[in-house]
Amino acid sequence: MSIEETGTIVDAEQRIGATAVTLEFEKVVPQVERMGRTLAAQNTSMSERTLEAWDRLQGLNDLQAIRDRIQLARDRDAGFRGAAPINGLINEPVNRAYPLPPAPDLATIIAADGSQVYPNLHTAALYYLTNVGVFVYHHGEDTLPEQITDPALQYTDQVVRDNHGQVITNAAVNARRNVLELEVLARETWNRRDLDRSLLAISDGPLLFWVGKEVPDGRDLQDTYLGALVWLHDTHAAMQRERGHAASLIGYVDRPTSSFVVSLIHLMSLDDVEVRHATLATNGDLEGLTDQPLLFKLLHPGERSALLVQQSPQNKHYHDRGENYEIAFFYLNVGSGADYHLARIEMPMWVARSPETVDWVHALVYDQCQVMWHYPYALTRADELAVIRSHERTQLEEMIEVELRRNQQQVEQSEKLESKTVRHGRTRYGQKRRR
Amino acid sequence: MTEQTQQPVIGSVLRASTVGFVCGTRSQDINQPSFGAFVRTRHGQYGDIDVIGLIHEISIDDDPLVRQLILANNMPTAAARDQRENRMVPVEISVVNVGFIQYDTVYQTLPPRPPLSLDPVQLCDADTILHFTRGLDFLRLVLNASDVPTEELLAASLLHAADARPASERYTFLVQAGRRLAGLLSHDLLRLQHLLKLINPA
Repeated sequence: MSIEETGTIVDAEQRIGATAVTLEFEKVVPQVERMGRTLAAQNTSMSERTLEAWDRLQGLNDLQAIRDRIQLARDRDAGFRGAAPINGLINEPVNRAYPLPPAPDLATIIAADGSQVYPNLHTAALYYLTNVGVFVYHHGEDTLPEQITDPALQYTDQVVRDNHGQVITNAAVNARRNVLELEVLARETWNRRDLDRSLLAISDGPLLFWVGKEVPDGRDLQDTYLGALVWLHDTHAAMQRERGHAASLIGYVDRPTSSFVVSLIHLMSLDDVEVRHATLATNGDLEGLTDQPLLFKLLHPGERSALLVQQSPQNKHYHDRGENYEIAFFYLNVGSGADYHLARIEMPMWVARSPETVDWVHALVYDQCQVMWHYPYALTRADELAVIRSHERTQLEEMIEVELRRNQQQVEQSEKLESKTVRHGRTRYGQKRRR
Repeated sequence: MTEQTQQPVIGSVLRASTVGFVCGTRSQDINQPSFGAFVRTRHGQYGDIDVIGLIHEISIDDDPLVRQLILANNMPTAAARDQRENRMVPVEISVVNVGFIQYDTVYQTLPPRPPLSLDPVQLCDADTILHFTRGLDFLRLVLNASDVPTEELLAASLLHAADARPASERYTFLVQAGRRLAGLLSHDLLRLQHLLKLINPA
């Protein structure tokens, strides 16, 4: 069967000779067409609401009025989860764009990212693996960047099973990997505290870390994560004391889907009597709108938004541990020319409350995003170092099997895995069979 | 069997057949190999056959990250060094087999078995090239090879072979090779003329 013969779309695999086709495209095509029409209608509605939100944002000139309204929401415990101006320290109007400062001459950027192999009941042994990649880039120098990887294999029952003997969830592995990433980042930053320049530690994703109940050691993980944050701040304090340099930490969120500014606009659209849980549970007539289209109207490439703080119990918890650890953020248009691309740059308060450091971070992150296409070069390389590819996973599983056999252990793969291997046409060595 | 030489290893076999093989290397290691150079690879760890081939293509694979860096058009030296020295930018060196050496005897025909994956590939030293090119039967193999820039490859390999000889013998060698080519290409004078121009010792 081919496109020419039937006039319908067929699976590419079918055209190249594969035999099994399970998805019936004749049934999918009308659904795809319906989806296209629905999304187009949604986008039209979004554009109108973006214009409405933009008009309201233009009117938010009074910082004191914003602070008063947020305080009212707090006093009434109304569950406001939007953005707030930083209290007292920095008075940046929320509806302004802040221009790109000049990049520093010298800096060292330390980026960390992680990946994992999740535990699988159908493999020869129960284990999981995390791998943290660190990339160290010396900005302003021609020095060869450094690359570090930190793999950790976990296999004891205490670690791979919860208190009820059940295998831990993928969310638990993700949480542990997140904590490891920040610990490794803190360690590598500390190891470079004697460099005669400021350091920027970049973590992939938001800095606020919280875990659900499915993570058995959630409370310990949160404590360890905060410990790593404190370690980074200690590095900063030591560097300030010795040479007057800074150690800054940011979390880089690419293409954020958050609506913190939209929530703030909604809050400011209400009358005082309406500031209550029920009205703040959604963003009212702006519900569904994200910050991105608004920020694209506000920020030209290179410009950042005002420094803001997200109102949330997690952030309050960080603040309660020490005001240096509350997380602030700004949005940054990392595009160039006519290409717009938004990122959210999160940072702890020890970075946010220094205007010079914020300028330094702003310029350096933008510079990194110009090396790559809209994404920090150092973070791209850290991700590349961390990622565990499928053939590496296969090789690891084979190594474990061999080691088990060497130790006179019976190796039994589950019928389910064997059946999957056969169905997917894979050979022993993880390669597609030639047809 | 010929002794393995101290020539630098330029890569490891990625895939192979009796007709030729492809070896992989890293981008910072491509200073040594050149188009038309003679290379050898021993057939397996306990093998008795050194496969001799000619490099006919050196290619650098497509890489999404490099593509993005080029698009951004703003690459600092540190990032360029990182790409070339830290990252495994894969370089593929394609080789056409022109013979093999077994127990010191040269055979200018296709080897009985291909080399194995990961076998190291070395450039041939001058003695091996001299030893191998005492006969010129490999010229026919190259002329009949498909997907290879035949004339340029033959010319480059003959110039490599001439360089392996003392200066006083180079002219004689190239004239002898030219005569042999004239016999092989008597039906295709345009190709012959082009080839002779490329190896003209004068």
